[in-house]
Amino acid sequence: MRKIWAWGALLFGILYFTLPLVGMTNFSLKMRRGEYSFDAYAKVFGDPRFQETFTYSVAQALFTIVFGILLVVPTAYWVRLKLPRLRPYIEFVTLLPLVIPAIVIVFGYIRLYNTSSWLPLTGSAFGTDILLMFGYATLALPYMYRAVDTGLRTIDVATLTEAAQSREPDGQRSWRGSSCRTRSSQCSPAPS
Amino acid sequence: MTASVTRLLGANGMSTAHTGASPPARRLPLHWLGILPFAVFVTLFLILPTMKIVVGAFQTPDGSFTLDNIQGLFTPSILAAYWISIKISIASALLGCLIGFAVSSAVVFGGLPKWIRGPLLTFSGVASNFAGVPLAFAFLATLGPVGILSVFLRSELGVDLRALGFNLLSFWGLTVTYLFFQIPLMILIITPALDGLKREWREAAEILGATGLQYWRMVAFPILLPSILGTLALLFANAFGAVATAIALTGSSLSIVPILLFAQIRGDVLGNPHLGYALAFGMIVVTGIANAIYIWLRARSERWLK
Repeated sequence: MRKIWAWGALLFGILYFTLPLVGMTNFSLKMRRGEYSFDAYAKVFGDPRFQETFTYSVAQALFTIVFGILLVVPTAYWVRLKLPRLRPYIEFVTLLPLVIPAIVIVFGYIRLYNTSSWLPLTGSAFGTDILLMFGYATLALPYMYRAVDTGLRTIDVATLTEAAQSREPDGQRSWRGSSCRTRSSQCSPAPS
Repeated sequence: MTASVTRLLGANGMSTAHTGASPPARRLPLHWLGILPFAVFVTLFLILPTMKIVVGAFQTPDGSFTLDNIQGLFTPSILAAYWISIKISIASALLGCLIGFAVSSAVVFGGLPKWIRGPLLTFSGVASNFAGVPLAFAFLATLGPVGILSVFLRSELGVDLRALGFNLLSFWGLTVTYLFFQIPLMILIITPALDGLKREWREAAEILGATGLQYWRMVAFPILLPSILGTLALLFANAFGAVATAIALTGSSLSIVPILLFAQIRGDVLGNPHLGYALAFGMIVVTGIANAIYIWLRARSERWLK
């Protein structure tokens, strides 16, 4: 009885999630009237504008991930190691992008960093790219910080750092060691 | 909490008392420097933009204090936009919670094959970020006037969705579309919580003569309530702020707050730049209230758990 019900729920889920994907794929293959073909794909991949925007998106995503990791991992490590009392506050701040709608934050960016402001980021193409990357990083903050922080919790950073520092006093090596251990927990979501 | 704090302070006080005999090598507290980059980034790109909006909502164009912008929100068209936004968000959050919970509990307790779980969670991770233009297109291709499901239902089963009053560019259409990222988010968050329900609890309840329903009502549900409420608040905010999907799907034919705000950013359609601030401020207030309700309910349910 329970099994039937469980299969029913799962089947509903599968139907709901595959139908739109099937529908989308179906449409994408119907460029030629009356038959299936890959014409649409050939056309899109051959379009230099598509290649350009696609490369741009991929580059933005990669830069965002690198920047996010550089920002979040040292912070999470440092807070765990030296400032554990600040952890709830930092966590609260990183969760804010889930509470404040993205469009509101973007609206704030446009008003704060427009061409007539003290930091005219939207004035140049490069500045806009940077602002976009920062925006993505802000939106990814809740996911990144939690993933990294959970990873750090499972490896007991403090003990590892002490162990490494007793061998090498500068702490640099311990940082390298624990960052290796953390890497597996950083399956950070790329901005869509 | 307070006990541990006082203990900590006491321990500190003792240690300073002990070392008080010899002058302690005092160092400037430089620990905070470690989080400086993070603090600067968050201030510049999260706190300040939000503050700018909150302050701007109470300012006239020349900078003096006013409540006119807030008052300007209480016009029928803007109120209607807020109301339909809130309705869509509540509907998609509730349905997302319900369906996500059903799917997740089917996988965790339903006795389904173990290998389903991995792919389901991976897929949920991807689908919860699937939004915007691709999502809108996928649903147009499925439930739009010539979408495969609409066509199939019309030609094979003789059910005309349009004649039944279903329109993708409407309240229910948008809700059904939002569910595509709401359900996976619920699955992602609630599955670990369901894993946390111990088998012993169920066995203990069954030995004491509880039926399945009683177990769920009196044991499992109260334990899960905080997580469910938290996800509900999160899903609400998620749907309330979703703008790319809404614009890609409905253009400007459905007036919901994010679309209105987007139009205001693009070209000042409201005719008063500071009304835009007020609109954005209103969105923060709504999601803020949703989260405040969540925190309050969670405090209540956790107190009840003790």
